[in-house]
Amino acid sequence: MEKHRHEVVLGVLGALAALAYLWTDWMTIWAPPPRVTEALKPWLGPEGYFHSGVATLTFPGLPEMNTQLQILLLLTAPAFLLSYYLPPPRKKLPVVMLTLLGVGLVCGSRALLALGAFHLSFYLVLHRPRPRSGPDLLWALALAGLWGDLFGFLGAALLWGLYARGGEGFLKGAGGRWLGSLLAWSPLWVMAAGAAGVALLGWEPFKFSLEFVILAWSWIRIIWYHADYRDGRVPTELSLTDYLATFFSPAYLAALPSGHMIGKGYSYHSRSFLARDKNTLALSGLAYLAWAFVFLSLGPWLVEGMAELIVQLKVPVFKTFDQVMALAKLNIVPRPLSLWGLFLIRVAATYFLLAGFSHLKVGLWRLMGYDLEPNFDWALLSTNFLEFWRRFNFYLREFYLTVFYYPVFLRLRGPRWWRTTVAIFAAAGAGNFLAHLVDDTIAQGVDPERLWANLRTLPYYLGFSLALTLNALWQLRQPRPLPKPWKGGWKGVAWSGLGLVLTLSTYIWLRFFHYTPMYHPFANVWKVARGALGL
Amino acid sequence: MPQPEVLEAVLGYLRGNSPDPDLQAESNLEGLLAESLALMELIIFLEDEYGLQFQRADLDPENFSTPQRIVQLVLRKQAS
Repeated sequence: MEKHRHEVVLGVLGALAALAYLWTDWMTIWAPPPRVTEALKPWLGPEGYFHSGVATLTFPGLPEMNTQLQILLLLTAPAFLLSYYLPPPRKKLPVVMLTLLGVGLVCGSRALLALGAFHLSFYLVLHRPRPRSGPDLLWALALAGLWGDLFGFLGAALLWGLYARGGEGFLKGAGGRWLGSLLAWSPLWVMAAGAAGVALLGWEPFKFSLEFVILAWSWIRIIWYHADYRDGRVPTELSLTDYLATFFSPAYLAALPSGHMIGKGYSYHSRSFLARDKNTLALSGLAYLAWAFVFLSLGPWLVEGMAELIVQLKVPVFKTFDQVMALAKLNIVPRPLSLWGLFLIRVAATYFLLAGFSHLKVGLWRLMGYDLEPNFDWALLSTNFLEFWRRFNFYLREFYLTVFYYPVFLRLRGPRWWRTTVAIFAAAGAGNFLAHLVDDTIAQGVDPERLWANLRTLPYYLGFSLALTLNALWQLRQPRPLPKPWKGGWKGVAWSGLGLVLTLSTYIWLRFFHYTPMYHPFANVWKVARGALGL
Repeated sequence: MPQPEVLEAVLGYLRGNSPDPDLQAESNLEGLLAESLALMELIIFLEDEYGLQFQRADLDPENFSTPQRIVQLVLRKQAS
């Protein structure tokens, strides 16, 4: 029996109201006393409220970021209340419905329709609706009634037909499997066809429509769901609500362009749902929201502080790569310490932004009762590169492991160093590059110059894979398990400190080859890289 | 191969690769095998020891949650 704790509910509602106040123009409408505003000034953006950077979906006709955030936080409150107070079997439906309402409000009904049509097709190819399932009937009526256009109506009719037949399979055998794979990987096919058309057939470069973008930004999650399905970890007979609940919670709406960032396939979400007491989960969700605020709103201020600290050490500091690359063009390369200061500042800024998004999303999932693991879990304090990768973008790494690393490792034969090396290059090299290429293409559009810019980042992926491989091969030779950093006396601490510095240096050095080749010619990139090494 | 012998071999491997030398059949392995490198090393051990070939579907965390579960997986694979 679940125990309701009203103080937890009040805490969550209070936190959501506080975020809505601090992150939007409500802070200027109901302004605090001038003395408080003055004291907060160093942290406030030019609009007079805290910087959030949460919703960065900018398409013509979309509400501005301020409104997107208000929609997110206002919908999260009823979604939390319903999921908290309703009995477990009924918790998921209102969360999914309110999230889809949010997609409709932020992105418009066409985007909602495209998203719904895709998921409905994918669901019907893979699953049989559960017989006598009330919520499925509700979905059918919602599709027909709310959208009322051709696709919505057809989808509703199809679902209704299947429901009425008592759950007959839609497609069986090889045809169904083939169609499932085609749909799961569809963003990739669309991107590849577009790229081939532009590069080989001379099409005009083009940008994807919002409808496609909304769908495509979940592409990693959809492929993951399909991998789970093929591994037999998803029941064939599944309600549409249970299917949609894998993808849609208010976390989906937070930082929409990073839609795929948090979460895995069906089995993980199913296992994590109410894996712990709902009050414990809600409280841990609150802690994640607090960290999200720190990273997103105070992060830029901390980065400024780092820059000032470096200046106080008498090291001239640059704040962007563009400034340094402009100098490199004139054959001026700053001193190594200046460059390392810049690398560190840029990595910290990126880390705060991504950790902020991630903590917000994990926090929102937890408020809805899903015990999801952290992403960007103090990665910058890792003492070896493998650990760094695990703690950095945890979910993306897990995706690479599932879709690239394990299949390659298990298929290969030969010595373990060979299997480990090839599997790491497949995951951290090929898979990682592919994922970033697709994301960048979806965000920026298909343009041969953009594709070429992405290809120029290949040294980063190769270097990243090499660093992981060397670390893995070294670790395979050590007595396992590796001791904890604080064990082993002063020697252990010293080695861990060295490991931390080496790990961070390797990453920020490699990261430079991810940022800069996209926008600058290789000649200048290498010039600056040599400068950083003092050569 | 009979279950007790497989269990003994699996426990022997895990005890040699864990900070807990007293691992038992029902001990929780969540922390130990969370890392992909450790999991793949165990897979190589099982492949070599029992001539098995694993698929991604076999890597369900449930199958590796305790030594006993690993034994059940090995016996299932041997039987199939």
